[in-house]
Amino acid sequence: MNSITTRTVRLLATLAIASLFLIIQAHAFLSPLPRPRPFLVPTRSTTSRSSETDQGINDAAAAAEDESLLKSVTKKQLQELCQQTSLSDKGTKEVMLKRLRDHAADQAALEHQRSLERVKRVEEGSDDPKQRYEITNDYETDVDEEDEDAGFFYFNTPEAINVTKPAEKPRKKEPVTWHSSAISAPPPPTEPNEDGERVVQIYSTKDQNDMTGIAAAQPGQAALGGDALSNTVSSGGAQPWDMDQSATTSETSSKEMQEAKEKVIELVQALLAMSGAPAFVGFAEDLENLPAFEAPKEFVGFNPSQVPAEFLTASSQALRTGRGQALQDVLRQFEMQGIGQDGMAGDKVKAGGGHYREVCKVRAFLEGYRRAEVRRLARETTALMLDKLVQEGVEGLDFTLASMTRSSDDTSDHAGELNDSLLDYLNDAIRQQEKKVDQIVAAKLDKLSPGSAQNEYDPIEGLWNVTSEDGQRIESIDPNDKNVQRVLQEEFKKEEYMKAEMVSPTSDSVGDSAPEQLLLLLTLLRERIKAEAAFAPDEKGRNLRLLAYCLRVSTDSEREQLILKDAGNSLDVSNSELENSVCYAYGSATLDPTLTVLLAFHSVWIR
Amino acid sequence: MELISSSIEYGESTSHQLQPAKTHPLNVRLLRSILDLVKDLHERQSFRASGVKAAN
Repeated sequence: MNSITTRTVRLLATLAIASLFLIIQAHAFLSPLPRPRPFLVPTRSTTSRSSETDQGINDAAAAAEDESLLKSVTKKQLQELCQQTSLSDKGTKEVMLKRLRDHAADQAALEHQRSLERVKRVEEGSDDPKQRYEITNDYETDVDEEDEDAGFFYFNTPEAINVTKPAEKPRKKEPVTWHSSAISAPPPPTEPNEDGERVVQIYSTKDQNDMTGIAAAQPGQAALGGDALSNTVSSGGAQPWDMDQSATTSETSSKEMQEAKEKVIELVQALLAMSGAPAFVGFAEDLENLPAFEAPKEFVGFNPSQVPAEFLTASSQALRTGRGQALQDVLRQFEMQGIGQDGMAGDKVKAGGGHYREVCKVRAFLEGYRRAEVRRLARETTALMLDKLVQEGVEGLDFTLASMTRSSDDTSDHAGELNDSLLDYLNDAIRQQEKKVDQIVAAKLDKLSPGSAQNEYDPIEGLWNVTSEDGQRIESIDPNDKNVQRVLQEEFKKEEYMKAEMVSPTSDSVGDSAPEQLLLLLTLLRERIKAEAAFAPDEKGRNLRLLAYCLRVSTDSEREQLILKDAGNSLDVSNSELENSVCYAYGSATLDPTLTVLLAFHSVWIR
Repeated sequence: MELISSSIEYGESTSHQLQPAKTHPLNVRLLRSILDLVKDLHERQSFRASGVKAAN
């Protein structure tokens, strides 16, 4: 906007100078000298194409114009014009006028010749591959042929040489703030070509075109992008629960997304208004659903500690919609708005900038809150399932899983939903638990090894009798010696103890300590949920689970009980279920992905 | 039953060798025994559902 204002000032100055131009036409002065008039010098005489009658009329008119022109022009002006063009300034006014006209005609002819040569050069082309010309046909149709071929020559007024630019008033540096409505709309689309096609340039919204480097300088921004929980659906790739993605494209989901965006917009507006940024303060008055508050008078910056909790809880679900997609879209709009408000001021608050920086702060805050909310729900769901598994066993967990809703989104208000964030949370929890267990195991090993390390003195060493016979060194030990027996027995006991300590954690994967047991439970729960994600909660999934249990139990009687318990005593039910459950053809078994998952499912439960 | 049959066939085939990551192939013998068990169970239920009582 500043550049436009500067350009306007320059344009006005140019116009002021241009008003002093003396423009001479080749045929006649169309106006008295003091009045500027564009001046055209056609190289071809129009008289050659006009009739004799017309020529006579034109000559008479030209003569009349000449007389009036010569009356209004002083001789000095004509002399100065002649001096400009290095012509002789001697003679009468008529002579000088004719001299100037001839000179203008010559120059216009040269210009015309140059333009013709240029067109010819373009048409012939050039050997230089860097030079590329394109001849457009619409130019010839739009522009009159005479005008195109005509050459032009302009005189400067003598005064224009000495004219100085009007001194520009020193502009006061005021903070430039514009309301959101001041931001101009994007340029209208380009006109379609002859075929009705319109060429547009597409920019991907995933591009990180942050040329300001502000986002890169934000602490924690990179970490935010790499977190699995903060990834949106679009960036997260294929997720186990994305089998419902077809449903998310429905009208309902788009409506939900729209509603969520409206809520998020209001929340972001409220948070930005709290910053006191001049362009964002007005947002505080437009709040509909959130409680009104008074925005600060000054630019105080965004302070997360001042955000009321009800603002966040009211928009918690909207923030999680589409795995944060709604939040991302809304924040992108506000970022662009902030950049527009900042203009050339950048982050300088005193110069009217700093809006984009505030939007970045709000983004970091809301992203963090969204992640915390997703984690909270996932943690509650995990705790619920672990409780079921511990208290009611696998059967209770199965029942719970069967009754839980499945979603590829995080929009649930309460815990108890199977979604991708739950798996992400479990992955994270298992990773942390593994670190803890590793530390415990390492501490155990350290306990054992220092004992042997400190005991560098080997008691058996002293039991050997070293004698020398015929120059040969003989080492012997007497097992009948009581001292030797005692030491050997002690060493044997110690060795047995060490073996028992070393073997026990590896022989049984279930550790004794609580962290190890929790790690095992979490791992099993994750695998169970993955298997649940792979199979729909229908007959197929149920029968696969039944088969896995049958493989797991040891005796046939238990298997029979299991089958009867699950399928029931009804012949029809069990038969139809078993028959309907399977659509695996042996011919395609080698590449059937369902069987691949089946194998994975089995292997999980066989372990 | 078809599920178990196809699992047995899968275990007998060499297709599981296409997955080098899987170290635990299916226990075909166990699957066969389960299949027999299910068949037997199915027959018994059919017999019971037919209403025919055993001679003794």
